Amino acid sequence: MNKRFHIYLAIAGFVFFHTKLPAFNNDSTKVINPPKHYFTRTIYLDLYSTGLRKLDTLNVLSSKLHSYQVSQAVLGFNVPVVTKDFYNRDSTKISNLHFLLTGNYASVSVNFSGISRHTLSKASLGFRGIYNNGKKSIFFIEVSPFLTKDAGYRYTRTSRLSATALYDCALSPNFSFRVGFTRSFLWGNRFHLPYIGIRLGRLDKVNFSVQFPRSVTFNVPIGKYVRTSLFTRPQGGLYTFANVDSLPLQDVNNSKRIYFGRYEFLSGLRVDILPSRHFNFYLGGGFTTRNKISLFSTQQSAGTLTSYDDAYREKIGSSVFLNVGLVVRFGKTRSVYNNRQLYDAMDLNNTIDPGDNGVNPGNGTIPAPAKKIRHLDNNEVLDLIETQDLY
Amino acid sequence: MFLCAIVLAFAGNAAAQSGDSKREKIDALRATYIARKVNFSTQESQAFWPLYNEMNDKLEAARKTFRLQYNSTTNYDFKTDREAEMYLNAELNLKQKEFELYKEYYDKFKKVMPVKKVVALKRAEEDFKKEIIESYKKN
Repeated sequence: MNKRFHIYLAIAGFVFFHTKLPAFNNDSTKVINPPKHYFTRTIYLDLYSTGLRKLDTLNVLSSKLHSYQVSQAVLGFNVPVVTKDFYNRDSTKISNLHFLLTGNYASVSVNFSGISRHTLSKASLGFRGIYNNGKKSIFFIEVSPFLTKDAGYRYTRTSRLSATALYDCALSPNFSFRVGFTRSFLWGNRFHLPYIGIRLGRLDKVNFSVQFPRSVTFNVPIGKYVRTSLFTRPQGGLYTFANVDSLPLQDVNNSKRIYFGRYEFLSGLRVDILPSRHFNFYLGGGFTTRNKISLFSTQQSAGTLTSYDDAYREKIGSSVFLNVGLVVRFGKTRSVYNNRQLYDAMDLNNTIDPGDNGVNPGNGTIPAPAKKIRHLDNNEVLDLIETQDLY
Repeated sequence: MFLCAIVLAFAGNAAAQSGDSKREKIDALRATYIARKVNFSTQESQAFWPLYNEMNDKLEAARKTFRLQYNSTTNYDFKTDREAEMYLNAELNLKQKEFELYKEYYDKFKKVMPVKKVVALKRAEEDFKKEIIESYKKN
C-alpha cells in the first residue's frame, strides 16, 4: 500500500473519530441532544475472488494471456455530513434531506498467467444526496469521481466519473419501484443506462427485488441475527492497464497503456450475520456465468463519449467465486422503527455502492421486526422502568 | 493506521453501545407492540412513526441529560440544601420537558390520526409496560 493510501485512511480515520471521548461522559453541565443523522457512519471491507480459467488458445492475444483469474478487495466508507428535517405547516409531516460523503479504495488483482501480474487500483471520493418527501417519494443522487491506475505505473492514472440519479416511490410497505439513470462501469465498459427497479415484500421481511442493472435478489431474514439472500448481479469494472507486455491490440501494439474491462455475472447465496447494529459480516459464494474480459485501445477510445469499442474481447468459462465482507457502523442515529420511507432510503444507500464496485454492505441498519417479549434480563427491565417511570 | 482508527472509534463508543442496544431492544418491542395494538392505516402509519420516533429520541435525550447527573450511583443523602434543591429542580425540569414534549407530539398525533387512536396508543404504551414487567416476573 502506498503513501497516498495511508493518507486517505488517516483522513477517513479522523472523520470517524470525531466522536465524544469517554473522559467527558460524566460532565454534569452537558446537555445531550438527540442524534443528528438517520444514517450511520459506515466502513466496509469486501473481498472477492474467482477461480482460474484457461483462455481460448486459438486467438493470438488469448494464447498470450493464457489464463485468467481475478480477485478484488474494496475498502469503503460513507459518512452522513448533513441531515436536515423539514416540517409542513402544522409540523405533522417530516421530510428530510441527507448528504453523505462517500469514498472507497479498490484493489483488483488480475492474474493472466501468460503475462506479468497487474494490480489495478481504483480510489473514489464522492457524495450522495437523498431527499425523502415524507410521503412516498425519495430522490437519490450519487456522484463518484474516481481515479484508476495500474499499481507501479503512474502514467496509467485515469480519472472517471460514475453517477446515479433515481426516483424511488414506495407505494406501500410491500411494494416500491425505482426509475432513473446510471452511468456505470460495472459491466466492464462505460455505460449510460436506465435504472429500473421494483421490490415486492417488506424490506425487514422476505422480499424480492429486481434492480436493473445492479442486482436481482431474493432476501430471506432468519430471525434477528441472520439474513440470507439468493442473488444474481454483475461484478466488474473498467481499469487502466500498463501495456508492459506489449499486447498487440489490432494495429496498435506500441500503446503504453490500454483499458481493461471485465465483468462476471454472479449467481449465488449470501449470508449476513448481524450480531449487533454496529457490526455485521457476510459470506457469499456461487458461480460466475457470462464472464467477459475486454481490452480497449486508449488511442481509439479517445474522444468517445459513450461506450468504448473493444479491440479484444473474450467470453470465458464459468467459475466459482467467494465473497466475504465486514461492515462496521459507528455512532448513534435517530430511531427509524416502522419508518418505511427511511427503510427505503437506507436500502437505496446500500444497493448503490459508492465507487461503482458492485459491493453491497447489506441492510444492517434496517431494524428487524421484534417478536414476543421473552427472555428479558434484569438490566433490560430496569432500563425500561428507569426510562419510562422513574423520571 | 486503519486498525488504530477502528480501535479508537470503538473505544469512544463501546461504553455507550451496550446500554443503547438494550434500549433498542425495548424500543423495537414497543414499536411492534404498538403497531399490533393500534390499527394504523397505511397513511396514518407513514405519518405517525417518524413523529413517534422523533418524540422518543427527544425524550431519551432529556432523560440521558438528567441521568448524567443523577443515576443509580448518586448518593441522594445530599450534604447541603443547595445540592438537594438542585436535584429537585433538575427533576422538575425533566418532568416539565417531558410534559411539553408529550403535549406537543400528542397534538401532532391528533392531526395525523383520529383522537381515539391516540388514546389507543397511550393505552398500548401502558399495556406494553405491564406486559414486559409480567414477562420479567415469569422468567
